[in-house]
Amino acid sequence: MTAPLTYALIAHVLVGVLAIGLTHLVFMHFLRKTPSWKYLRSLAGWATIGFLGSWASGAYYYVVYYGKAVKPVILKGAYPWAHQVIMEAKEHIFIMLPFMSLALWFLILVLEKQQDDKIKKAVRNLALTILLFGAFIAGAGIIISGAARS
Amino acid sequence: MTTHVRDTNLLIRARAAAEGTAAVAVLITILTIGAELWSPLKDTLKTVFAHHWLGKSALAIFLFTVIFLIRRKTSASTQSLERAVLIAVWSSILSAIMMTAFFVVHALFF
Repeated sequence: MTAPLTYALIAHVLVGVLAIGLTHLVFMHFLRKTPSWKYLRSLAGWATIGFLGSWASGAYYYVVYYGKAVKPVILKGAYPWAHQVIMEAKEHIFIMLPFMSLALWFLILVLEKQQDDKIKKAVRNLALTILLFGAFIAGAGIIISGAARS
Repeated sequence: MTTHVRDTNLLIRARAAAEGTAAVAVLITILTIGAELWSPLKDTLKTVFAHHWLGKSALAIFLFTVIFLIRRKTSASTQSLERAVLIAVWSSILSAIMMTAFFVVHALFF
């Protein structure tokens, strides 16, 4: 694996985990009675940038290297389902994440201007969904990495 | 406490973004399952975009942008925003469940 591919994989993991962590902070602040909307707006904005960065760096690694060098190894190994199910689900669920995170940022802008309890609850659920998707994608990455090394 | 959202532009943009997100979830589900079941679709994505995943991503960006630009020209209310967010959340969850279930079945029986 070349150095740019290594850096892309590291960036995909680190920036992705950072974006998940920021979304977790957003969700936890939604549990407060009076969240700091300006702070939440900043967190959600950086989370969106993080998901986009992880998306782009992951795309480079996946398109250039994974299909040719990693996928065949997993399919011939003891855990082919790690690609057939886990990777396939991961790569397609990931496509939705930056859009969900961008929508979350727009919705926090609304709540910053004027609060509405029903919208707040709906947006909290969106943050939770992003968080759960992010956790699934991070866990899937660990399984795929393990399957490739086994 | 429930109050009226006065900044209509923000409300409309937020609703447009939520609707775009819901549309992306539907598109990705259709393209992903469709491309596995009907190889000409996957081949077309590969031919046009170099890789099927890049094709799905590019089409998702395109659809989100189109929905966002079209829907931000219409009026919105707090009720329509709440509904759009709920649709975005549930379409994303159903999309994730459907695609994962499909790949489980695909791995077991195909």
